[in-house]
Amino acid sequence: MKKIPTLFSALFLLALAFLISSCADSSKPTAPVPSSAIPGLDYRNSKAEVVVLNFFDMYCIHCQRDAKHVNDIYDRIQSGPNRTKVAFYGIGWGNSPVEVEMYRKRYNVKYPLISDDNKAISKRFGKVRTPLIVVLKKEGGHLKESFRISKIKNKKDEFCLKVGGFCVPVTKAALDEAGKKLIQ
Amino acid sequence: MRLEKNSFSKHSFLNTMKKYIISIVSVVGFGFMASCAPNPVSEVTPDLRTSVYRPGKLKPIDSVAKLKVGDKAPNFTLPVVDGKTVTLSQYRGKKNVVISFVPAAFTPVCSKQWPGYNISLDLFKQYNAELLGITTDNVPSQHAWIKLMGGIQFKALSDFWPHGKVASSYGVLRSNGVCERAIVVIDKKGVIRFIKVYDINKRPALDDIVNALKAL
Repeated sequence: MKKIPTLFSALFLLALAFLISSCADSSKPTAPVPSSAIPGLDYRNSKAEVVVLNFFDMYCIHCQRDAKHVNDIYDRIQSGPNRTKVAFYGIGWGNSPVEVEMYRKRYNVKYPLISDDNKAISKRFGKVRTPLIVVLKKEGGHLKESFRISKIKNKKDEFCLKVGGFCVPVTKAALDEAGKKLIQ
Repeated sequence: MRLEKNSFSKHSFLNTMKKYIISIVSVVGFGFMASCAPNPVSEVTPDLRTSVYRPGKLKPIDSVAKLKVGDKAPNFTLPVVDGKTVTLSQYRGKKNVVISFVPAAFTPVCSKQWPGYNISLDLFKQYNAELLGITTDNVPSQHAWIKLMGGIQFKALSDFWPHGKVASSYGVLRSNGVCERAIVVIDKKGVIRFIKVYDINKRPALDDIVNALKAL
C-alpha cells in the first residue's frame, strides 16, 4: 500500500517532465549555433542521396502558414529508417541571417537554415515563389532537381510518395490515394 | 486493532489517491493550455497575390528629411482600425515605440512587410517596445487590406485626414500623398533614437530594428 503513493509520485514527476520538455520555450534554440551562421553551410556539399530544400520567406504569410507542415514533413523523414540518406535545408529567400533566425525561433525549426539574402541560391532554381520545396536527387554523383512542390499542407503524402518512401508513417490508403492523384 | 488499522490505511490511501489525481489533472490541464502559441496568421484568402496593385518601380525616396536622432518625436493622435485612437505620448515613460511607415495598402512590398512583424513580436516584447504601423490610407481600406493579409498583431494607424499630417511632421510624406517606407524608433522619453527612410521599392531588413532596439 505504501508503494502505491510512491508509484504515483514517480508517474506524476514523469508526466511533469514530459510536459515541460514537450512545451519547451520555443525561443530557446534547439541547435547550439544558428545554422545560418555556420560558415560554409552549403547544401551542395551534402553527401546525402536526397536533398530537400524548403524555400521560405519570413514575411510571407503562406510560408508562415506552411511552416508547421514543413516541420511535419521533416519529422516524418527523421522518423524513417532512411533518414541518414536525406538532407533537409531551409533557404531564407531574401532573408538576412537575423530574419532567418526569427523564423527558426518562431516555428521551432529543427533543420538547418541558410540565409539567401541576395537570392543567389534561389536564382539557381529558376522562378522561385515561396513557399516552395525543391527535392534534389543524386545522379551520377551530382544533385539534380527531381521535383518541386509549393504549399505542402495538403500534399504531404504526395511528397512522401514522390520522394521515394523516405517519409513515415505513410499509410497504404494514403499511398494509394496519392498514387491515384499522380496518375490523373 | 487490525480492523481499525485497515480502515485508517484505506482512508489514507483514498485521500492520497485523490490528491495525486487532482495534481496530475491540474498539470495536464495547465500543460495543454500553455502549449505552443497558435499561429497568429489565420487562414488567408488565396487572393492576396492577385489582389495587390503593382505600381512598378518608383523613385526610391521622394521626401526631405525633417528630423534626426536626438530630436523630440512629434506627438500625434491617429485612429486605429478597431475604432479607437492612439496618441504617441500615451507611451511616454512606459514603452519604447517603433513606427513602421509604409506607403499603401494593397501593394506588394507592404503586404509582405507587416506580416513579417507578426512573427517578430517577441523581439518587441523583449525590448518593451510597441510597434505601430502607419499609412495614409483611410481606415476602411486598411481594414480590408489587413483582413486580406490574414490579420496583424499590432496597431495600424490611419494618417488619412488631415491627409498625411503625421507623415509630413516626420518628414516621410511623398509628393503623391503616400508615406515613405520608413522606420522610426522612439525611446520612453519621446526622443528619436533611430530614423531611416528606405528605398520604397525594397523591404527593409529586420536587422535595423533589432540593432536600434538593442541600442536603447
